[in-house]
Amino acid sequence: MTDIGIELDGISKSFVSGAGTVRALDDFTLSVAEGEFVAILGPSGCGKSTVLRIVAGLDSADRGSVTVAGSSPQTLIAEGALGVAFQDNALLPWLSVRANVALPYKLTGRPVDQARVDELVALVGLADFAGARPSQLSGGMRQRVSIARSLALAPRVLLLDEPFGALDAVTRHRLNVELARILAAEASTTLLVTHSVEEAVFLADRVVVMTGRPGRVKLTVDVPFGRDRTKAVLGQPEFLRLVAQLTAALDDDDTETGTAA
Amino acid sequence: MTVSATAAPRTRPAAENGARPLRLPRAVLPVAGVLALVLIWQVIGVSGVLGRAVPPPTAVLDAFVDKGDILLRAALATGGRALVGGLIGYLLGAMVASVTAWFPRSTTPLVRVTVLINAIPIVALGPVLMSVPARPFIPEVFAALSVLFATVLTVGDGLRSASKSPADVFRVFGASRTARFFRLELPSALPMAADAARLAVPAAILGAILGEWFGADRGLGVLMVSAMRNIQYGFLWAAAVVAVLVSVVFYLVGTVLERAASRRFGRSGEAAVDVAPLAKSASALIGVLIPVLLIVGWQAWIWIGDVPQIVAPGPLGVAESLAADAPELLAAAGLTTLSAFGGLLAGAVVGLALAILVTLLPWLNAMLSPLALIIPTVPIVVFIPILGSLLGYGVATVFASCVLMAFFPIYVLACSGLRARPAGSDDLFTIYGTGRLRRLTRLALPAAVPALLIAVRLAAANAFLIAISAEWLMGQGGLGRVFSERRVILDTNGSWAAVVVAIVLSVLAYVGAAALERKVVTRWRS
Amino acid sequence: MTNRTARTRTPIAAVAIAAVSLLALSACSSGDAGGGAASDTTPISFQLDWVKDSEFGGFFEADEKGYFADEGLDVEFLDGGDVSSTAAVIAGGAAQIGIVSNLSRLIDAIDTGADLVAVGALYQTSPAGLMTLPDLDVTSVDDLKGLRIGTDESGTADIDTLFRVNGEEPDYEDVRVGYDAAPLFDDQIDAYYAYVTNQPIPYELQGIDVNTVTFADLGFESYAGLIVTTREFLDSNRDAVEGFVRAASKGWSETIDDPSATAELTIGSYGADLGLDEDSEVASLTAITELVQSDYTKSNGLFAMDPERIAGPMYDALTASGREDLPDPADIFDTTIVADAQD
Ligand SMILES: Nc1ncnc2c1ncn2[C@@H]1O[C@H](COP(=O)(O)OP(=O)(O)OP(=O)(O)O)[C@@H](O)[C@H]1O
Ligand SMILES: [Mg+2]
Repeated sequence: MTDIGIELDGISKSFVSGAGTVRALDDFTLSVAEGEFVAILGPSGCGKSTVLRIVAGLDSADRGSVTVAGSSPQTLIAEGALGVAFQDNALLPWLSVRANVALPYKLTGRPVDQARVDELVALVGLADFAGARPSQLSGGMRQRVSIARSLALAPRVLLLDEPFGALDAVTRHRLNVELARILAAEASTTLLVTHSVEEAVFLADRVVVMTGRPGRVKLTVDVPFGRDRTKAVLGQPEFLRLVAQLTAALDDDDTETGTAA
Repeated sequence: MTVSATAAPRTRPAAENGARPLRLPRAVLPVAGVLALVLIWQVIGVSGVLGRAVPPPTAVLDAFVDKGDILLRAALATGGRALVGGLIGYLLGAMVASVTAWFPRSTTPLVRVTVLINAIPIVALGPVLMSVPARPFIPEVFAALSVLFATVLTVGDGLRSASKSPADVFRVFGASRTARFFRLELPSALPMAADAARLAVPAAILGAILGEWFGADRGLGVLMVSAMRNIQYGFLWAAAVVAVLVSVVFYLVGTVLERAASRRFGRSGEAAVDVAPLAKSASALIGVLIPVLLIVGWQAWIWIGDVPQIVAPGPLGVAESLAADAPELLAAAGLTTLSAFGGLLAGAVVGLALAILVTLLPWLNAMLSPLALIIPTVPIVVFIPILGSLLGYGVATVFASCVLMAFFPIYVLACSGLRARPAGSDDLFTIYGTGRLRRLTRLALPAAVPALLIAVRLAAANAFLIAISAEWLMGQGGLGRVFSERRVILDTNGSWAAVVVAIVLSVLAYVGAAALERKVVTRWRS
Repeated sequence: MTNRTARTRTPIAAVAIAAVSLLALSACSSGDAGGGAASDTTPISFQLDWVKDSEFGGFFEADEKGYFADEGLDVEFLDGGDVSSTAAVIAGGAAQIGIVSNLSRLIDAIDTGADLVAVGALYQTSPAGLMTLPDLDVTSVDDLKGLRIGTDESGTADIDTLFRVNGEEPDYEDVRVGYDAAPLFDDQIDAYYAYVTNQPIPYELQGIDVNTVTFADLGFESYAGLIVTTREFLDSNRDAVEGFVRAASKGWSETIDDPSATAELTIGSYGADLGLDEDSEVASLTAITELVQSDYTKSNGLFAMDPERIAGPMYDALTASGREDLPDPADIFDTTIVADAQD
């Protein structure tokens, strides 16, 4: 874990719209090592999605530098080595679940690895719905399709924006375990945005707490468990202590929290 | 969820104002496009390769200088009629569409009535209207009729396009039907209502011009027939150019409205055809009832009004003609169908191709932007005679007219359809480094399918009308020609028999296209 | 302008379900105007069979000089863009008097049961004919055999009749070109169906030579520009019709004397919205005045119709065209109006 996976240095970002200027990020700095899994916590509207969009090259920072996998997001994109599960899942309504998961192959002009597609569909528990269209799925099911799709090309950098937001506790937990297993095998550099402190601690090597808008890093906590962790960690005192510490950090946020969804 | 995702690409980051130097060439391209067009026209006009009927722009300019005041008066007259008639047709259409949204079960019968009304060829209505008190308002009536149909369909689809989740929110809060309509459905329909307004512009102007051919004391339509017969080609083209200009002005207003509506209310792209279908038997009953009612009403008008046969024949006489001339009418119908469908197909291909090209090539888009503005506003029927001198007087011209007419709605709706992508999908394609071509085939084109199907439905309903008008003007065969031959010997039974066949074909074409749309579009709903 | 509102005064021809929406529209207008016209004037809506260009110049002259008013008539001109519809408009009562473009149309209209009467004929010789390039000189129907003839809606039937009245079956290629003579110069057709008083004129003025021949020259005779009313209106308003013919006749006499003055009146006033060219209109109107006069009109007055010509060559042509059971000319031509109009 010596190479740098993602390096954000002094990022600032404002949005101008009819209603005025919103300062989303201010001097946001974060470094993620290659293969490292970092979870981001923060109040709603603090700029978490914006961080991911900047890493993905979908938005540009007003100030500061962005390095991803040694160069720019664009290089990563050119290699087809970026996977993103968007907050609003962005499924194509006219494609089946299987076709949506296979889409990244088509978009990058690679032959579809049907076995892997089926494996991912099964992994997110949608084997019975492989032929269904998004309109026939529930919100959580759609999110799961989106996660499977983000993993399709075994990306070097994986960005997950509240991927489990609409899931029940049981499914969420099962997926957490599966995700942990898969990521341990593939060693993607991963940024996960989540509102669940337990999820962050369970999955990540490191957890970052952001301030309210404009977003800045408030607290960084290393998680001492190895990547091959199992359900067993959930009961450990260290786990509970980390959860308590992070929850407290989120709670005593004195800055105004955003309202944007 | 739509809001944040569609807002993202539109918002410019605060510091990103280095785009200034790009502005200049961007403004240059459209101007270059117009100049190129005028230059090509001048060369064609001076060289005479397209014959005498195409004068050079300089000759048209002369006409403007000599007769500017007359052209202005005519433009005001026609523009005013188009505006009044168009507005009436539009409001009527929007009202009918609202009724269908409010009472979904009324959709099938109401839409059927408008399809039927729309299927009546204007050229057949004109002579009848000349003999009734509405006579001074023929241009307004034609403008209203030309607008009504597309408005009912487009606005209706817009009203039904309200996203499901906000609709549920309204239900949960126990909002009244009225509140749901005014606070949800109506705002969601605004982008498509604005689309309908833009579609209505050239239709209304064309309607007014055609109406003026049936007796008006001034107006662009009057100028055109007079100039044509007096071989004043420069003047004729000047009148056509003015018609286009009037269209462009209205169209620009429509575009501004559309942009504003899209920005404010978002475009949900999906036009759900989510109508509670009537029971099979009820639907069949209505299918029979409406035509029967219309025929009874027609007969009643003939009897009560004591209408002479020369003004309008009764259903019985027409039925007799239908039976007597069945073989001839069938043969003519075959030819007309060929032109109408062939034209529809070719027009769809051309319209879609141009929409794609414009979506793919930003510089071409910039260069064609004035053209793209002008083409849809050109009153095509005015140019049928010019098509004739280019393509000869026969099937080719009829076919080309059908192509041009089908092209317009398909181009407009394809352009907006190609932009109506699912929320966040553009970002998805970006992170896989997808090139323009794949973005087109995998995202824009599939996303445009619902809009395209609406366009095809609209074009299908009008394909026969255009084929018949073109055949009437310069066809060597087909229903339009039969109509014309019967009409000129004042055989109203015979000419209306041809009209009835045309109406039936039009309605069938529409019903077919609508069925196709229903089949396909369910796949597209998210 | 003034015409538009006045038009709503026309008698209601029909009340219909189909017209309900149209009525709603007309209700938006300012309603009946001209109700204040003195009770001793008779309103006449006069349906023209084309837009208001100088081919109707004599009628405009009569209106301008007040000859109609002198007869107690308040005449309103209705433009007619659609040539085929005028008979229907008169029969339906939306116009009391109107121009029906030729004899065939009148006969066809009467055949549908329309109760029409012709009280005069503007053109003693129909201006309908053919226009060709100078290298084609048409002197008989034989010269037309196998040619491509450009027609409009009315042309085909006329040319068929032309062949038949000469004892031939139609033998030509019918090219429907509409109102546009350009195909003649682009070698898409060999002859063009035209009013010889109209389409050829602008070309001649531009110095482009063309040949013209009327159908009458080729053996197909017909009155044209028939002044038509309904039997019902004629019976109850005989004086008004007679007054109309008398006033119109005065107007046309002045036009014959000075076509350019009438052309000027048309361009400047009645047809001011048409963008007409003065030279064309003067030339056209001069040509028209030739066809409006004949030996018969010189002794019987303008618009006079010769029963012998009708029953003879004109009815022969109608029979040749395939029309059967022609009405007795006495029932549909009232020659007494013109006669009585000669004070
Ligand atoms: N395209 C945009 N235009 C204008 N403002 C934006 C845009 N994107 C984000 N913002 C603003 O930036 C701020 C941060 O947004 P962001 O989506 O990053 O929040 P978030 O931390 O992901 O919130 P949540 O947890 O609710 O998803 C918000 O206040 C939002 O209003
Ligand atoms: Mg977010």
